[in-house]
Amino acid sequence: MHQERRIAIVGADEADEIGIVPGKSALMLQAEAARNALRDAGLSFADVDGVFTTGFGTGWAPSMSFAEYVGIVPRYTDSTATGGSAFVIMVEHAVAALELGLCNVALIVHGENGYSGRHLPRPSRVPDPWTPAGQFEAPFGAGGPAGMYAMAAMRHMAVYGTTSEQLAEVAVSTRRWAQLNPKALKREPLTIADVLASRWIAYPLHLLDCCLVTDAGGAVVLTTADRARGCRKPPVWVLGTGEAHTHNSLIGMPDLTVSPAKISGELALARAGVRREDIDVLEVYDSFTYTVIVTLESLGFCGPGEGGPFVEGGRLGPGGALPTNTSGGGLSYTHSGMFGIFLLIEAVRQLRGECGARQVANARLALCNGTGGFLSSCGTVILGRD
Amino acid sequence: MTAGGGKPQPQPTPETLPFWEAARDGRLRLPFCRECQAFFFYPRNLCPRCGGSEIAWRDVSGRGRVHTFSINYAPQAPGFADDVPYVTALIDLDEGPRMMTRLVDVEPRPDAIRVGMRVEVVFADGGSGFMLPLFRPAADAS
Repeated sequence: MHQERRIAIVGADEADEIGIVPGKSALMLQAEAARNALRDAGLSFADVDGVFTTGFGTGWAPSMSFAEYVGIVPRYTDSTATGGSAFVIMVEHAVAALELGLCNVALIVHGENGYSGRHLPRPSRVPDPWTPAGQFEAPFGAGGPAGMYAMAAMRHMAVYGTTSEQLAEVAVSTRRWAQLNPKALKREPLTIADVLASRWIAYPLHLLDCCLVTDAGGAVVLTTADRARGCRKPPVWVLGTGEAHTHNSLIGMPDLTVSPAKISGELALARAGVRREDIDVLEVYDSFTYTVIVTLESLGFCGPGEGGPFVEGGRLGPGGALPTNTSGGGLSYTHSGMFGIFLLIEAVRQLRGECGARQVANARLALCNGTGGFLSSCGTVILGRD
Repeated sequence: MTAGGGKPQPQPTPETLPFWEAARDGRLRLPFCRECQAFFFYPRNLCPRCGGSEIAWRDVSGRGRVHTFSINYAPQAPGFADDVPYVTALIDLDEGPRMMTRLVDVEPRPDAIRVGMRVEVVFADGGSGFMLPLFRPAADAS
């Protein structure tokens, strides 16, 4: 039933400290995360011959910056620029490279000082004035993620009657998971009323509908089945993957109530040969509460427009029918800029049974869905244990 | 890039220049694909639907409906800190294409703006001499 078990994630970890970590550069966070993930696998930098990274904080050539910093000379390199989905999309790229024998040990790494580096100039976040977004969005005051996702959420609310309370349910369920994760930044209790009482960032999104801004790094290590069997921990198999993007600027988005997860999710499920009801743990990018609702619909866990009612009653939280974002997500655990890597790390830990108080019992299958840009790109990965 | 009150200014490219030249004259002018007989936006040197490269430029009515909007309490682009709260919106033009714009002449309140609301174009100086196509509630807004 499952895809043949040929490629596995064998290592996964964060940087030494995550959250508010002043005094560490993006490259320091990347190096720590990579070293820790390799240690988790029982491997070293000398074993790595495939390097996958991207981001805003390390210059125009992210994979070259990172590889030089840690002393790797890779045979395979990837700096895919699809935003926060990239690290999930890179799993598909790593699988392809490993299966072709283009590399033997693939390292996917992220690190960004999103909080402590917030005063650094970030020209890449403002579109160049000759690009479509620079000509037809930025001059009108549009371009920040909150405003863009607010417009998408507003459309969903107008078409389907989705409510602010339903959006807030996502923040509350996610916070309940964070309360069980010692590494989560935000662990104090949270209610729907708290979310609704928080200030507007971009109507219809409140402050507590928005992800955190933190400093963090994370990495995962992949290799082939023969090599995976000799690693320190049991392999977590990559059973199916998919990737897609439908637009870049919001004016190009075909339907503001559907994300590219509709394409990437269908591909991943079909390739893995699993059904949605078989998934034990769901890890989906929660840049904003709306991102979770549109992703659940686009992945087919509920029908179009049904995401609001679907998340009611704590369905996504601890003890709920569909454990989702069990780390506490970007909303409450950490969000340094491009969250995708942390979806993978948490899924690996759940499938290994390493999650302590937040462990989902008998978790055998996990689905990760990364989203990037303005609901522009998605990568879906389905992972399973032996 | 950030002249005119520090706001981002468009830098026209060869395929977008007719749009910005018309805007300077207070006209909303869009590319029209002769092969699929339909407008598209933003301007390109080929039609994103059919790949056709026979592009004409035609004036449009400047009327449409709010597809969606947000009321921004934090600036979403450089130079907009003094403008909050301000309204950004996607407009479905009567001729088909969808544009990003800023809604003006309307209170930045949820009860003053509605998805589906009728709007019309109004040109305003965005700085550096660029006339931007903004939108305001139309006479038949309700």
